[in-house]
Amino acid sequence: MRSVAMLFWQSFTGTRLSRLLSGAGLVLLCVGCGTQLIVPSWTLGTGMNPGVAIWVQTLVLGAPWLALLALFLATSAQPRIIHGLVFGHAASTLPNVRRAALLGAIAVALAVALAAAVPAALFFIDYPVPIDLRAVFRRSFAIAFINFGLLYLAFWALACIRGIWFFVGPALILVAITVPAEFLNDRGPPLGWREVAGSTGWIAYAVLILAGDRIARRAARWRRGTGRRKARSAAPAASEPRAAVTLLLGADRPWIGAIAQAVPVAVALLLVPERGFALFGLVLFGLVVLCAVNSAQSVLAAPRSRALWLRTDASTAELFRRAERAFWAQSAWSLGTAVLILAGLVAANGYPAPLFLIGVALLALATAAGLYLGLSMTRGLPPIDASLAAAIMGLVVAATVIAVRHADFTPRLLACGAALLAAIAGLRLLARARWTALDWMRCRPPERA
Amino acid sequence: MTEPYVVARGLGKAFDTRPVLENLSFAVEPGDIVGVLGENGAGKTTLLELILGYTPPSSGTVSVFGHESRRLPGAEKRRLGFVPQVDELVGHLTGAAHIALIRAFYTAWDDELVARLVRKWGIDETARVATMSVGQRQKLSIVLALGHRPDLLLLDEPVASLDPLARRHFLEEIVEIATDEDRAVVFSSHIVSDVERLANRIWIVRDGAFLWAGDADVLRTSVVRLHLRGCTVPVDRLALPDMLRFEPYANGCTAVLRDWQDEMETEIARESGGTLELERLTLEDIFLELHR
Repeated sequence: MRSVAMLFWQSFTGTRLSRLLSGAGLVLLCVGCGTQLIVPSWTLGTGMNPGVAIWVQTLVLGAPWLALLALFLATSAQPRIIHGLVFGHAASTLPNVRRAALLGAIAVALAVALAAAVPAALFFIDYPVPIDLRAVFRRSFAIAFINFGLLYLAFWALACIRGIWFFVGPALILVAITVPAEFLNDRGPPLGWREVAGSTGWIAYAVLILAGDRIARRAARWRRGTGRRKARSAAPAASEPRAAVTLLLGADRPWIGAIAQAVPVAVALLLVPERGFALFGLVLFGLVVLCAVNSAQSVLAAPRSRALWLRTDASTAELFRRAERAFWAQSAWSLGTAVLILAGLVAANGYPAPLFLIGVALLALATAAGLYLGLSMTRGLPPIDASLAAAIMGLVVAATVIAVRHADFTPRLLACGAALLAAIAGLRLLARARWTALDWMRCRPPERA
Repeated sequence: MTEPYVVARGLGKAFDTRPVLENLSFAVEPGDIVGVLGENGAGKTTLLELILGYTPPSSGTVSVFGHESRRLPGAEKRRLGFVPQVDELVGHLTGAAHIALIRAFYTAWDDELVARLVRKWGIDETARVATMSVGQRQKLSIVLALGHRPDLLLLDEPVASLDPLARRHFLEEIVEIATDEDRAVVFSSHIVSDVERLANRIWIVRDGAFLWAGDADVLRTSVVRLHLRGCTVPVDRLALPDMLRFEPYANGCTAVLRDWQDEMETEIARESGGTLELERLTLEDIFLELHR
């Protein structure tokens, strides 16, 4: 049990930041709970008590939320610690490490859930209508605990895995943020489908801790097997120069971006209550941002192009042309997926055709903007480049907002589009100029000693 | 008589259809310091991982402390220590946090030893692992593996990232561990001089099989280089034992022989009618000769 206790302790205090957050969280929790007990008549849902100062009321209401946030964020590195213990050789040498890791994870989640449930029950301590505080506590505690399973799983996915599964993390965070709000408002029976769905987060996390390394190794073996089969069936294609170029530049798996784009939009379509035109606006906005982010993966091209340069006799100008072609081919996947989603949405809801055309134009502009922004960043991210990126993305967002608001080719939208086109052309020139004077020593951020 | 810590019979490992190790049988007794030598990709790491139970064998068995290595109970795992080739530390935790975390898994932990090693090797306990150099991380990994004073210590190229001073300190620690009769160490390395200095048993792995698995002293005396001069009979007619290399020249030859026994010396001198000079080889020379 010492190992469980130490894992619990390290989850809250392992780093300077987590110590700071845990300390602040505890102080805020005590302040929040204390003021709720000392300052009477804070009655949620019945308005503010005129006898209590605004700052006190803010403190009473805000401190427990901030405390929960601080305590949860303090433990957000816990999945990484657990990964270090149960994946790799430590699992073969440390006694009972998987059991300790699972118990430690549960203990941490229980503690943070307690920090959520105690203030939640205290909110109702002076409620004018008699209310069962124990029921409030139980419900809040269960919701928080279930939800943390999903969130720790999401953090684990973000911190520890790569490839397509990396995108499971954001999707889980989206679910974990959306579902509890409905939980809390739900006055139905205590165990519904959402609770069951939420519990799968803990089940998946437990499976990862207890058998994740074995599953990962089997998956790796399976991948190796399918990779070889694919290589056998497509041996001539693999030797084509274009395949080698996309592989070296990091644009060889375009479908990852496309799926990463489709999954959050599909989840949002299921969970978001908006319907009608508001839904179109929301989806278009999301797709525009995702298209820009996906195509901005071209930022990888500059540091990776060195491998290509060493293997071919291409000049840096030729390298730029190849990178541009490779990343347009990659971005076409996410752009195509976005257009398909938009077409489906327009067809299903009977939106006017110009709206679809506006959407497609914006998606194409966002893709081009992201792509050339990425290609132009050949020296890390100095402040001037960061400002340029922020300005271009601001222009993309402004064009989208105007399009959604007016739903037609208004002069303002056309002006915004023209400005964006000009900016993209300028970015391309900048990118090409920077690539001709490419310095691979400056492409990467300095290594930590 | 004490039971061996590790017993392997017909041990083999294949990745998909590619065999990495084939039909190995060996035992590691208390007091053994086994040095594992081999080229890159010879199967050294796989061999250590099989003993550790990290990966299952494709054929044969390997038992550690009398249990199948893959199903080692928690109590027996406390007797096992391992240092991987590439450290698996958590980047955002400090050295002190790592020590505290790993310490909690063991009932017995030598705080004094850990504190001494941390001091001696200049490990900054307050620094986050992500900010440490590769060598510092490796030192921390070694400290974590030694802290519970394991009976069986497995080390996969432990000194690869260490500076000469830290390497010397590390070897001293291993010698100290080895002086305790109840402990055993199995370590792989490319630094043959370290293996020569430390190991009392040597495994040389090549293409998944043992080129040699036995006492270090026996290996050192059983492979020799002979210089025969002034022979009265053609050298290719001489009945020399298992030859690793043979370079004839006028009235003589140079030969590297395996399975050498000292009584052969007079026999060969008499038969050849010439003068014989025997050259003892270093472990590095033996390793190279065996790999020719």
